Amino acid sequence: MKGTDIVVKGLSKSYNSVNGEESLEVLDDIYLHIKQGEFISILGPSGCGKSTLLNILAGFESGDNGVATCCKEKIEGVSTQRAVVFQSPVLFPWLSVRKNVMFGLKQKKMDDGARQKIVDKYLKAVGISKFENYYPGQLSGGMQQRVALARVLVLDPNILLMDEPFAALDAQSRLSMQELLLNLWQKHKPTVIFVTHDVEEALFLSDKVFIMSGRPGRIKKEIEVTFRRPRNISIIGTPEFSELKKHILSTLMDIY
Amino acid sequence: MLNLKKINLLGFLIPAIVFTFWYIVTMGGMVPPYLVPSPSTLLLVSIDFAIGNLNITPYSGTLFTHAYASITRVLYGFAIATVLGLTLGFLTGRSMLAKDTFDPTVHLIRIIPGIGWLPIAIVWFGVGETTTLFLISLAAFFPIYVNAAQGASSVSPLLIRAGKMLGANNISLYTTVIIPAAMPSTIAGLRLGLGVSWGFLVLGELTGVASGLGALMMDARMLGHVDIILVSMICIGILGRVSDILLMSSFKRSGLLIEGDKNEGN
Ligand SMILES: Nc1ncnc2c1ncn2[C@@H]1O[C@H](COP(=O)(O)OP(=O)(O)OP(=O)(O)O)[C@@H](O)[C@H]1O
Ligand SMILES: [Mg+2]
Repeated sequence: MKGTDIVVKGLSKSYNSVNGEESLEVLDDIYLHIKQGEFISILGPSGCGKSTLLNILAGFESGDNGVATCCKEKIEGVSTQRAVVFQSPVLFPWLSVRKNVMFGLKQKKMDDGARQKIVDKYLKAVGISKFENYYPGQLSGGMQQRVALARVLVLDPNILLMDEPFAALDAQSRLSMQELLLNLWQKHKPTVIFVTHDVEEALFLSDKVFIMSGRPGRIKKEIEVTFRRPRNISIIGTPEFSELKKHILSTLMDIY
Repeated sequence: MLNLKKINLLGFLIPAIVFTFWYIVTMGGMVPPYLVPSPSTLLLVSIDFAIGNLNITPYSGTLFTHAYASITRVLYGFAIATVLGLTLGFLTGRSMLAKDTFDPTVHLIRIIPGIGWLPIAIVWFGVGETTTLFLISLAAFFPIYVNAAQGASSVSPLLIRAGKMLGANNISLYTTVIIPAAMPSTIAGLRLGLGVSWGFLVLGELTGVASGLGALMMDARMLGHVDIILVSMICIGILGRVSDILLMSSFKRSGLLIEGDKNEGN
């Protein structure tokens, strides 16, 4: 599919306040232009509306004002072309790991042998093959999150919306998942929108970093990340990397 | 391992004490046999009741006829309750409109105790078969309905989002997400409903049907066969337990209930 740019213009969103008083403004006048195949990260303080923004891009919710478009069409409702890795794993607890990963493929008409092959491939890729017969309740949080990733990767989506997907992982598996994600991205070139609190992770992975202000969330700054690809962790030690990290951190600091 | 054994043995402790006590009081003649028969008499009567080899009671060899009649009634009554309860439960659980329409009336009717329907059921349906079916399905309907509705309405919206995002359409969303997610609560309702079915079976049969374990108990009371009353009670207990186990294992086999699930608890 060509021209799967994501364009957001003047998007705002409020929630009815839980106390029944004035409404809670969460997103304010958001502008975004994400080109097809781009890997972008979103950084911002907790509660600034990052998950809300992803929910709108996924089609789970709609904004109050402004538009969010994908492939030149207004985003209305959910599409399998926009895969979501939620902030919590949200696996189906009554299905084994294997069947969870199979879920999306089961919704499509296709040869079962082909299905099994794809599932095997991604179970292996996220390093969870050994646990394919476990149920989600029997896995650790980090393992569940890997299953959640494999579950959408099998669908080979054009757009990946990821909400702090690796936050629950230990340092080594986080790094290996980041490398896995970069490899997949290099091969299939999906558009990736990656929410994280980890500045190094954002820099290591993305072409561009969007920094949001505190609630109501706005895009405060857009920073190009131009490190040469393919990247490996050695860039984390370089002076350019530290410089950029410092810059981002200071932008994040004077958010209020 | 050791721990498990301890628990199992503990479970037998109270039955063993009761049995010993029972044996002693009936042997010594402290309690007359027309109130409580001795364990050995009861055993003989049960065997005779099942296979008819001794002809020691008028009910010799009739166990299977009666058990069959009772099981059939429970199955029919429970089936009616299940169909109505699940349909209406899932409907009100997923649609606010259906909930506002049906829920208040259902709960109003639910307040009337099941036994309270007996006189009017007899007036409407006469003594016997239909009344029994009516009572069983009415009483089993409520736990099935309430739990199915509760299960269906509390499916996490995140799971529904995940299902949609992975390509489930309106119909497959039901079969692959909503129904399985509502299962633990629904199964709890079905179990309760099945248990209640056996209770109301006895109530219906006591009012006078030709065959069935409840009818048998009433008949045996009039003929002074306390042993047959007790054997019937034991049969109903066993049948109730077996039907529960069959229900649970069928859910387990169908994959709707995962092994080691919290809602299992036998
Ligand atoms: N369904 C909802 N109803 C009411 N308020 C909501 C709802 N969803 C989110 N909010 C509010 O919107 C604000 C932004 O939430 P959101 O989850 O988008 O934050 P976030 O940037 O993802 O935070 P974090 O980094 O902690 O995940 C919060 O203040 C939250 O209370
Ligand atoms: Mg969030």
